Amino acid sequence: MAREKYILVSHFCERTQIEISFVENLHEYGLVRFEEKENELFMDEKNISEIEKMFRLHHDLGINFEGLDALNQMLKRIRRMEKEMDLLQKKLQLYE
Amino acid sequence: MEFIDYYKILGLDKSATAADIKKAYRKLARKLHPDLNPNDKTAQQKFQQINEANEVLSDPEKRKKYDQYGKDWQHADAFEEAQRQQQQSGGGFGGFGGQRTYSGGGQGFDDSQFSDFFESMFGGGGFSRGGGQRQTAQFKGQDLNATLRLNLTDVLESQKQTISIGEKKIRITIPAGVEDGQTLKIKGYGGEGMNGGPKGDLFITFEIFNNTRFKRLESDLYSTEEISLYTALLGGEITVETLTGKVKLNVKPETQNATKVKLKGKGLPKYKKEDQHGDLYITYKINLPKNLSEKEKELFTELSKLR
Repeated sequence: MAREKYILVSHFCERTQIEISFVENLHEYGLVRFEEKENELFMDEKNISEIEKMFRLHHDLGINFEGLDALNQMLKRIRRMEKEMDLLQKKLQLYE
Repeated sequence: MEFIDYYKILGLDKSATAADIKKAYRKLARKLHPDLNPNDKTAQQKFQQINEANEVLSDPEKRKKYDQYGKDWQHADAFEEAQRQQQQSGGGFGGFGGQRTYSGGGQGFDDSQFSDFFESMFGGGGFSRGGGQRQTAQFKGQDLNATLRLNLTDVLESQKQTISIGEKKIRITIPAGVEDGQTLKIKGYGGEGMNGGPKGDLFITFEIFNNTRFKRLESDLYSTEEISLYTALLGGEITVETLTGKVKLNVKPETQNATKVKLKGKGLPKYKKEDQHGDLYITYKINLPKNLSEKEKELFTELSKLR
């Protein structure tokens, strides 16, 4: 495990003032993955923005964890479709 | 500065109850939340408006003040006097603290950006949301966005450029093969973090102007080459342009119109794949001779009789 890319979950919660129970729930629902090392939980720093996003959706819109999972899947699909649409539009331009 | 009808923004009338306001706000927030509408600036602006409307209308004191002076804010001397008194007594409606940055899709959006109308009525400062929980919930500074325009020929090789962000100068490496609309994230070059949080990020979006006659699809290039009827029928050698110079090409005998040939590796460099290039696709367009002489007409007639 490349430690420099990982941050302590408790440190992240302290800095962001996101309740640790929220982050633990995300882990429980498989929405984020943690690594355990020397009895401490670590998270990949790449997950920070994703966790913050899920917190905002949960906090602002009252979306529960099942809803967050469903939303994540749908947002991924939308991003994939947008990428595909962009590619198709560029292909179409070849014939214009 | 224009009067903003917060009731209209939430689709309500003045008799709306607190429950109506909450319901309307939640409904619109679910629709327009920046995390659900990345890259949609209109949705982000509307989200900002509904937040502002909710901030005022969901607070009984603010709502009362808005209802009382809102429409006549331009002539509200009494309102200003009241505001001065409130400020003197350390009250007021601003200063709730709390600021959250939405950075979905690389587009920074700061929900503390209130309208001038709001600022004039209620003062600056952020606001709490969701029943006052996590009022100082900030993590990082605001993300910044910049656009960098390049010519297509500029992306043939990686290049270093110095860009100015405020007073700072940043030297960045633009990888060869970068695409139009592609965004590069430069960590820690955004706004200052809040409450000791880290800085935001800088997102540079590239706008690639095609200054060539080639059409681009990812790392592949496309062009059309005109060839004469005789070259198409009998074959021959032609010289075609690529982005990196001219190359000679053998046209096979009996080449049909719209035949496509591939020049391997003559496209653009593949993004972040060293020494790999896309291909150049050339479509032949056969040019038929015009203004035929009598002799040519005779010969073509003769030829046509052979088929």
